[in-house]
Amino acid sequence: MAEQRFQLRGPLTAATIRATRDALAPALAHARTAGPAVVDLAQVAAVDDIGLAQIMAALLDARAEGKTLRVENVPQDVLRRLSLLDPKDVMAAPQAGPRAGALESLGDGFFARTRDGAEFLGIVVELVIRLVMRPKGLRLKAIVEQVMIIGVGAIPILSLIGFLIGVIIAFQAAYQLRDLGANLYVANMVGLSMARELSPFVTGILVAGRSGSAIAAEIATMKINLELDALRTMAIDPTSSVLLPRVIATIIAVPILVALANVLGILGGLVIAVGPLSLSAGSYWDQILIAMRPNDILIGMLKAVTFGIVIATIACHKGSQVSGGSREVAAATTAAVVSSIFWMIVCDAIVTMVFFFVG
Amino acid sequence: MSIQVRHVTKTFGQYAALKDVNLDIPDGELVALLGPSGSGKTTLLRIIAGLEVPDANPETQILFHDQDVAARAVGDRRVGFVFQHYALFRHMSVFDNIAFGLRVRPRASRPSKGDIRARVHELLKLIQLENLGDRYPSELSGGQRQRVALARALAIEPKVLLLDEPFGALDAKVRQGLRRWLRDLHDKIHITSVLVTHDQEEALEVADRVVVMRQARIEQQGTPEEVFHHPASEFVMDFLGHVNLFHGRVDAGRAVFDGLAVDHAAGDAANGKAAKLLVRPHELELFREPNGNHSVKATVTRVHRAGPSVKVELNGPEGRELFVELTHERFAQAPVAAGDTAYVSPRATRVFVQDFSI
Repeated sequence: MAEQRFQLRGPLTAATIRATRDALAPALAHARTAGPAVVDLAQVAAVDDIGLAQIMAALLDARAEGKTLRVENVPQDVLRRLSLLDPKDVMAAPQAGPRAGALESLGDGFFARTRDGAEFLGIVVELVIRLVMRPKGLRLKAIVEQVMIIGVGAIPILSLIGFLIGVIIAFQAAYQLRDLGANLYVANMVGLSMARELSPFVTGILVAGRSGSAIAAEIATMKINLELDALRTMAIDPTSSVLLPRVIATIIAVPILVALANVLGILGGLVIAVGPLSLSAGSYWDQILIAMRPNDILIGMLKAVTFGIVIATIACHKGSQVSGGSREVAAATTAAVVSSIFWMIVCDAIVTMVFFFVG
Repeated sequence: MSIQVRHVTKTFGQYAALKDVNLDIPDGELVALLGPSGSGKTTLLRIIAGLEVPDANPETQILFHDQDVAARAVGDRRVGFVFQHYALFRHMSVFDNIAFGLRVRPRASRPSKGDIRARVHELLKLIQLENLGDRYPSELSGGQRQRVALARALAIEPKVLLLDEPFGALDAKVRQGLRRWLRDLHDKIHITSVLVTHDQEEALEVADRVVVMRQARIEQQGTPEEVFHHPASEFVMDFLGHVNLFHGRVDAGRAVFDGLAVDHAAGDAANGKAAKLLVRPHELELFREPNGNHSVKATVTRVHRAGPSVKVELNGPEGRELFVELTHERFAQAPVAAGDTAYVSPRATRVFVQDFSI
């Protein structure tokens, strides 16, 4: 198909912005509908940056639609100005790349989580193998130290939270049970919800926020600071001496914290039962003993152990993945918390469903 | 213990950090790996330590005392490594940091508590921080921290000491003191050491031998005197200190540069080729009047008189900047001021012919 030439005349400047656009329109229209179009600048008097921008806009439009639009006889000074522009030298592209659509980011998020999950399983397997092989860098003292930090340090805040959750459940239960005159069943509600679900979950979130982030940040800092390399030069395996104690300590600490949350939750329920609901402490306690079976506690503990594994391995993994600058420490910390909460919920759902059908 | 590196190549993705590098380090020497950032010097050091694994190649060997250690883990190589940013364990006191490498040994090879304490005190004395054993790293100055890092590296009685830009994060004055201290220490304990640095002054002052690296290869190696006075290439000369550059051409056994001519017995093969004349600032003379020798006419733009020597900046032919360094006595004989016209002539020169070097 023959090329159609469009001759532009006069100045292409800020003053003639509308005229320039009108002059370019037919060329673009031709390129879109009929075939290749050429804009000829031979007779143009002056081109300033505004004029240039208009030409570029037309070119980009054409290119975006896969049409052919070319510009010929470009004045020397314009070419010189363009050659000065190597945007890579002076301007940086946004770091995140093009903005993704909502659906796309949803998919990305899903795949990121799935990848996390696969990596997470790999690390768990690696840690188990290392444990079985009796690592020489692993010291009891380091584990005890971490249990103190992760477990004992969380006791005050967790006690308060556990108590309050017990209070809340008691109120929520009473709100519905009082119409049936079944206030006594508040005890069932508090005991079972705490033991089976809420204690492990709230403890998990607290430990993820409190210790998961701290572990990720600590390991990331050690990595950036080359402390992990320093350990290796001293014949110490960082996995056994830094990561494993934290993982083991978390697995020990979370169930203990969950037990504590159970006790305080039941206490919280008791306060409401005895106070606003006018039950006797004895009947509340009897009802708790009737309602709760050992299995309920064990399911909660199973969840607690799972959450401990999830929190610690993800935190260690995110921390040791960091490379480069200290800015990544913050990102690793956030990623550790978000990712571990997500995987806790997934594991929680699986365990809950399995035990719903199994027993 | 001697170190030999044979045919080591290392690539990170597309980027080649080392290209077939070979290096021999004799027993007990202090060798400096010198080069601009990105020249591969730190990668080479980390490969010697075992912190980085070279690309797979049957010819690649890393020999410690003629034994191939390429397959050995970093912990089994008995290397002491000092990092640029100290990498001290922040939650441990100075004493514990130094003792750590000994305490974590398996029970069979672990010294007794008393022995460990004695060893740490010995090292604290060596680094002149005897009274600071109880402090934490954050309570020490940069220079003190780096000395602790060095003591920690030495505590495990390494066969080889590797230092990655150990003084890079310190200020000039502290750096100079530590440099001299490191040299004294090396003279005392004679441990084979490799020091990575981008500071040519540091390398020339401290090392027994200097290895100049450029773009993943070794450009030149030799004693500090050799590399300073007989640089193998324009790059080495330029990297080892400021140089004045003149462009010219080789013509019948002489190299001619803007009014200067230098005997250059390069043979006829070099005739007509472009050549570069490199002259260090202290090898240039400054005259008020042309004195019959070859010289370049220039305008004085600035005179720095503070310091051990007088530094004169001039504007030479074609607007090229020239730097001349004179002793105060020499300057007093023919003082110049900004705006004066002066004549510059070289005392010693090095000519580098394109694709050809002498």
